[in-house]
Amino acid sequence: MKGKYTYRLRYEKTPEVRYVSHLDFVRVLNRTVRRSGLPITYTEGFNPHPVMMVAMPLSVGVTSEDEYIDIDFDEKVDEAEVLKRFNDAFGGGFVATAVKCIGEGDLSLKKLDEAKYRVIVEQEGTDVPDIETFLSRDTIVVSKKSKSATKDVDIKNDIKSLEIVKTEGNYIVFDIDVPAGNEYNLKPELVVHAMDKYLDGFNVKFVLAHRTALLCKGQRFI
Amino acid sequence: MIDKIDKILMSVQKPVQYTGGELGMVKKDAGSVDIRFAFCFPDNYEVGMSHLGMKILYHLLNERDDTYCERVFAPWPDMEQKMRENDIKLFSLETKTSVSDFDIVGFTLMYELCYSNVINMLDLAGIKIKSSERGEDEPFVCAGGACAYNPEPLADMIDFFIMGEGEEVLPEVMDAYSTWKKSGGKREKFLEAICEIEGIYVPAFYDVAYKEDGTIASFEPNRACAKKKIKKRIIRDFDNSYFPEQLVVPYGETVHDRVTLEIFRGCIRGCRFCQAGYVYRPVREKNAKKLVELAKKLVSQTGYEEISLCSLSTSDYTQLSELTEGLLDEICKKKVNLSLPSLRIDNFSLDLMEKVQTVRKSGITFAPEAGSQRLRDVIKKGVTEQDLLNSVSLIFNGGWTNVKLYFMIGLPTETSEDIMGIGALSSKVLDEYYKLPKEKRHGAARISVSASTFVPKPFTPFQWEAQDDIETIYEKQGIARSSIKSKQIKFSWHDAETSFLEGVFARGDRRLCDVLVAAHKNGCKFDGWNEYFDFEAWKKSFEECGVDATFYNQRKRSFDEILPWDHIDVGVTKAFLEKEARLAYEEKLTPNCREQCTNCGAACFKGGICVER
Repeated sequence: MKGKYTYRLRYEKTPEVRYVSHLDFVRVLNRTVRRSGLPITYTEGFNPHPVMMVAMPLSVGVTSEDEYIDIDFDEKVDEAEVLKRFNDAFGGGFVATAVKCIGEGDLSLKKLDEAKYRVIVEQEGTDVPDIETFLSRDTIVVSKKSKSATKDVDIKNDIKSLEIVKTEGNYIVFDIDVPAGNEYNLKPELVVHAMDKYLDGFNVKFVLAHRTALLCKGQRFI
Repeated sequence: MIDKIDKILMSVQKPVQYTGGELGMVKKDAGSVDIRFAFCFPDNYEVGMSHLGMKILYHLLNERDDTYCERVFAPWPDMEQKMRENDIKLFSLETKTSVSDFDIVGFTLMYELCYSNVINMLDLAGIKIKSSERGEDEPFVCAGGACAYNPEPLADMIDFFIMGEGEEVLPEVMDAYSTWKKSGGKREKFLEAICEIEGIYVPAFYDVAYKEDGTIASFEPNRACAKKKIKKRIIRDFDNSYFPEQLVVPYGETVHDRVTLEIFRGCIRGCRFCQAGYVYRPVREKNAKKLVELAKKLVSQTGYEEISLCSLSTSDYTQLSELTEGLLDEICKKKVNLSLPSLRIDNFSLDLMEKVQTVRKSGITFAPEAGSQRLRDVIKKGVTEQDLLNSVSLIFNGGWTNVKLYFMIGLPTETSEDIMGIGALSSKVLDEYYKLPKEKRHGAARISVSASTFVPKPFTPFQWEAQDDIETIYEKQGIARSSIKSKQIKFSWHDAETSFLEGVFARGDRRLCDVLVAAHKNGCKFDGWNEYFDFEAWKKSFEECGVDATFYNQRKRSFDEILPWDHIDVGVTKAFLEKEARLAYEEKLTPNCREQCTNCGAACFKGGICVER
């Protein structure tokens, strides 16, 4: 089932709705498109729902400024109008920041392969961790949870970039780039916990993540 | 850089239930209102946000410029633990204000098993549990709702109760509060002032004396302002009563996450076990056209994908066909589902269900309540075996294969034969399926039979009855189970221990207040949730207070006993209930309100069906 037009929406998940889970968000979206009055394409069948695709689920507690969703419409609507109606219907917390009617030349959300995060870490002490030593290790093994099991994986080659943005008392802010998408995913929290594991004197108390970008081969989706 | 509350929220289940900010949430400047009202629901968010009364009263209070009503739910035990560890007091969702900083704290009491949560929430808020200990600066604590009709088990904790429909009473209470606050008077003066308002009950203004046998000797007002009888309030003109045109739309999942349309209040039936059937009298309907208009507005404001009709018995709504036609016209365009609970099955309703059925043909529920015709006559459940079999035959023909049957165990006059009737009736229901020609059957039929335990309730003809003890209930559940012969019939039953406790508090008196305090100390909370219900802790609490629980639930009362709720007037008279009780023993039925008035007493309100006839 596919509609005549596909609109790509970029939106932010602000701290106000930090604890809305992905499943909750899907419900929010269903109701938002209904409230918006936009000519959304619905699936056929017993339980019709809007034809749409979310780029990548966000975990509970994680905020973002660069999320995407593709939604199918039956009719063409002016992009600015779509943006306005979405923001009126969202009702706060989630904020639409751009809309584009997409076609052949546009990147598919399925091709997403990288995510950038800004991560605030509270540690027990105030020492600045030695990232170079950490990254120059031969292996960085963490236990990674999947749906079925927990297993040890080496994430050394997955860390695309790791930088310290600033430090303040026992808080450190990192920028972390990791692979994302359907095939392989790495949570930035895992990178932080790996540093905790390998670096003496760096003991993590609490991590709060914020997604700053979703990319395909280094390119943005709008 | 990181808030303390975020650290806590990241470590608890479903943190979204504590953060508010939903679409439709009322935002006001808390500093510029006269009255801050904390609407407390003594269960978790997902239950509380499904409660229609809270939705109505939240918006009704917030329509007032001088009042800001905010919501408070019972935190789940994982959150409670974190709050206590971090010294965080119970707070409101709207502005995260400590509940103890509000002017009025109002609880809605939907079932007896939430009483321990009321105590726990007061404790978490840092408000003194007993009214008599509260200082001049502490909020007033009030309560209303279905269980408030017997307010006595919470008499020591609640400053004032609201009897009847809050839409009528609350605005008057807010006016009185505003006047009192400006006058700068003492706490007691406010309570005295609101005694003037019909429907307000201040338990501290009454004294109870007991006889040697533990029954009540006298129940008397101890000051001039307190009325001898407190009469419940109703909305006489229900058609024009307040209903919000916006709703709070939760982010997280809730039990009933949809637009609820209340089509009428009260019930014409008067099944003798059902408290709601008496305390909500008289029956008052809302006009179908109005409801369609309201549904339209609510669907476009909320974006909900489902509308559900709400009443005690959908089929008794006289404008059902007009309403459903209007709704179907409107909502089909918008891909909204319509759900029709408590519908009696006949050709009309089946046709209707076919029309609204947009999802799979799932189960249909029937509530014969008792296994034999004799016992159904005793409880005045006006359903015959033939009615039921005709209905299931219709739905099996219509393609449904799952049927749920609800029964009660422990009903007055019940014998083993009545209980074995549960199995017999279920088999006959199953037989109806195999009467279908083979090509019309869709696989095997599944019948689920579920048996709850009868709990006698105040203001019903069975308010004088003894509830079966736990052993007897186990025995009777065994009889019911063994009466079911087919593997296609699944039998489940309700836990007898929670029913025991429900029975104690349903007909309890003031002497239970101390038991509640003790139970709170012993860790009782969320008693309605299996994973938290701790019967041993309750037994210990009764023992510590020297209170015999069976005095309240397993004792047969005489008709002339002073009952703990006799000072509450719900319209329906004690004399009428006694007459109904005697008719029950004779296995005799009485007509429903639409057939003939039986002079139950509710006509004193001069509303609804009592004046339409």
